[in-house]
Amino acid sequence: MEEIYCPLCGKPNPAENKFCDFCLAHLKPPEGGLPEPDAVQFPGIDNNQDGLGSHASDSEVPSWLSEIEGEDQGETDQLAEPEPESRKSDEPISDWMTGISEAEESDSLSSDETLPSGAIPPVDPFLYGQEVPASDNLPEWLNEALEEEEPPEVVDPDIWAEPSPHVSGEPDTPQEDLTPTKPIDESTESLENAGPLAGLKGALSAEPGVARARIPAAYSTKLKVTANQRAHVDLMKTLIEDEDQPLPLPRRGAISQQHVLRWVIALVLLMVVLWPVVTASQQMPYPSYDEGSAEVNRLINQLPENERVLVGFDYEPGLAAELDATGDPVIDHLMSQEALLTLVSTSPTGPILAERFITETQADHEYINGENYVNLGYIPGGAAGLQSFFGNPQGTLPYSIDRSSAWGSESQDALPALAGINQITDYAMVILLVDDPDVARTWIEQLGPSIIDPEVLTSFVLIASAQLEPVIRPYFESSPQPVNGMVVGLRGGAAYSRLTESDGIPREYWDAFGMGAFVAALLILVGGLGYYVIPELSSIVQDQGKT
Amino acid sequence: MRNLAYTAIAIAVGLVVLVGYFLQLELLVNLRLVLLEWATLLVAVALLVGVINLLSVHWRKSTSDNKNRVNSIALIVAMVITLGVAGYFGPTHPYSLWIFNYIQIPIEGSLMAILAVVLIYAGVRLLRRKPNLLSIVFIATAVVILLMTGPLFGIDIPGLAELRIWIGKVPAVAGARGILLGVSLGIIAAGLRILIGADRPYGGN
Repeated sequence: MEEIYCPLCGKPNPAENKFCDFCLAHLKPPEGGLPEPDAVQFPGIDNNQDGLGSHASDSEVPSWLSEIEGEDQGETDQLAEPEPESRKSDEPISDWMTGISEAEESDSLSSDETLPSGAIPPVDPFLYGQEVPASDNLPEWLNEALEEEEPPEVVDPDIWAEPSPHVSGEPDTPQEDLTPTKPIDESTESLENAGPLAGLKGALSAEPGVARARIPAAYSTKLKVTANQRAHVDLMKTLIEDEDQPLPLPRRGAISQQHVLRWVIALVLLMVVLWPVVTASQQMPYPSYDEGSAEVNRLINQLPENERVLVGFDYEPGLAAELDATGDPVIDHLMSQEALLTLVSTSPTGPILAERFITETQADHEYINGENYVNLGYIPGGAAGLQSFFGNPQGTLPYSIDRSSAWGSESQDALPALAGINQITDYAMVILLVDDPDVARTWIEQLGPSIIDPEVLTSFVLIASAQLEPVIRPYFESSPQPVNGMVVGLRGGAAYSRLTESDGIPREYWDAFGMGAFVAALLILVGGLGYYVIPELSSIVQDQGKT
Repeated sequence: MRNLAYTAIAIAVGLVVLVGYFLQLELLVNLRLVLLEWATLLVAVALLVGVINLLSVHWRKSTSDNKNRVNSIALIVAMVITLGVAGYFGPTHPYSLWIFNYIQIPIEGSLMAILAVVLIYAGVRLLRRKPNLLSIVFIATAVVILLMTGPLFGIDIPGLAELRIWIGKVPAVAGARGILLGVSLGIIAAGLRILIGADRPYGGN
């Protein structure tokens, strides 16, 4: 069903409606355009000179309106009649009434003078002769109709006015301007043409009021932009959306340059290290010994036979190769002196490493557990455990690792390695194999104060990984010495082997170690320079090619 | 009130151990040794608790739908086997040593070997990544130490051996002394804070 929308209230109505079902406003422009002012006909109203005229057709006017019109007609007749004389009679009136009456008389006189007698202005719904405001309050179709239609010739309303001083060209005075020259014209009073007040004149006009108070026109919320602006908006939108999306990393191939380089380094190192092992080459000369190794050698040489020595194994299995090779000549020298060893560790894996070292690395000496050495196992507690062990070894580690009573009892003597040991200073020497600088520092700090005393004959020796040399050297070079000697790294072990003229693990490792260290230095030097120089040269060549 | 008791006990024990370290009074020394033995026992128990906790955590992971539960199962199996062998035969038995020699040492040794390759690779790329004076000094020092630590085929390059010794004794030791001094001062400060109750790692505000 086709609908049309009310130009005033905006609500839908059937297409055949002439008036809005909701506000009773005109839905369509009247057929034949707007009527001439003289010919404007309103339902039930006759535009005659008498004002409210007779009804054109009673059938078009509802009964209630007929009654109203009848009453209005009576009133109009009464108003048209001259005021009865009785009103001007001799009835006594008060002073204030007198004033009012005089004012009314003057007003009525002036009206009579400005209006032609008996002339009632025509009913005019639109004030012709004045510019109708543009489409502020009127529907669009009405504006168009008004524009197409020429204003009809109407009686100039000013004909009822006195000649204006402006017309005469005489200079006006403020007093003259303030003088009312035109009475209230009834013709300007609008006649209702719709709604329940249809046909009434002088009523408050519904349509203009409604028009002013109507619902604001619904404007489109879409932003009107040009194509260029739209293009910029799209570009900005694309940029912002791209900000949130992570840039995909460039996909690396399965075999990249880094992979190749790493594999090349690994293969070169492996071949170089394996070559001396495969060929059993042992031609590289031992290094010259340093003062730390020489001091350790001197201390061990001074040990009498069957002297008791505490050996700490505090390194991880990953560095067993280095520490085994470093400690091998020292422990070998110690065993050759038939020292009785007590093995301890502050690392959980240390006791196994110690057992492995004695039974496998030094298998030639055929040391027997419980006779030549005792493995007391793990000392828990770090620094506190060490302090407890140094002060009270029997109470801290009462049993050996094979669950025997190491320190003896009333019915059993102590093991030979522990006989006569009541505190740490009863040992002739303490040797620590260590790979961790913190562990080395803990041992030095806990043991040092006990052996610094010149009356104490216990010496403390470190067999350390090469990475610990800067950390333990200050203790060795200080005075008094908390560390009496040190053998550091495979180089130190090889130097000690040179001192003792033994061929142990350092001899097996020394050639491979030397080749590996040399090739590693060469790879870093050559590879680093090549990695730096080649791209620089290529960029220079590219720049020259561009220029 | 309870926190106050904790603090009082901690401060008292710390003072007894510290004073017993300096004053060789028999009562004080014996008390200090007893307290240290207690601490050693507590740490040993803590180690056992840690092992049990590790086992329980991986037990939960192995019984869940975790995609990496194979690793947890492998850890539990290895732990049970090792504990069984070392517990039954003893830690010095050849079976226990076999596990140690042919499983644990090769695994950790291979990690160190990979570390050697990675460090050489990093040294190769260092000049490319950060071509500045410090990088050059670092690379030169590493090359000198590596060359002169090994036998270098018996070749004696004049001055290089002395340079290696000088690097090991002067710059490296100077840096290490600084580190040691800093560590010592930090330990003293931490010990004093605990002794005066300003720091309470055992609990309490």
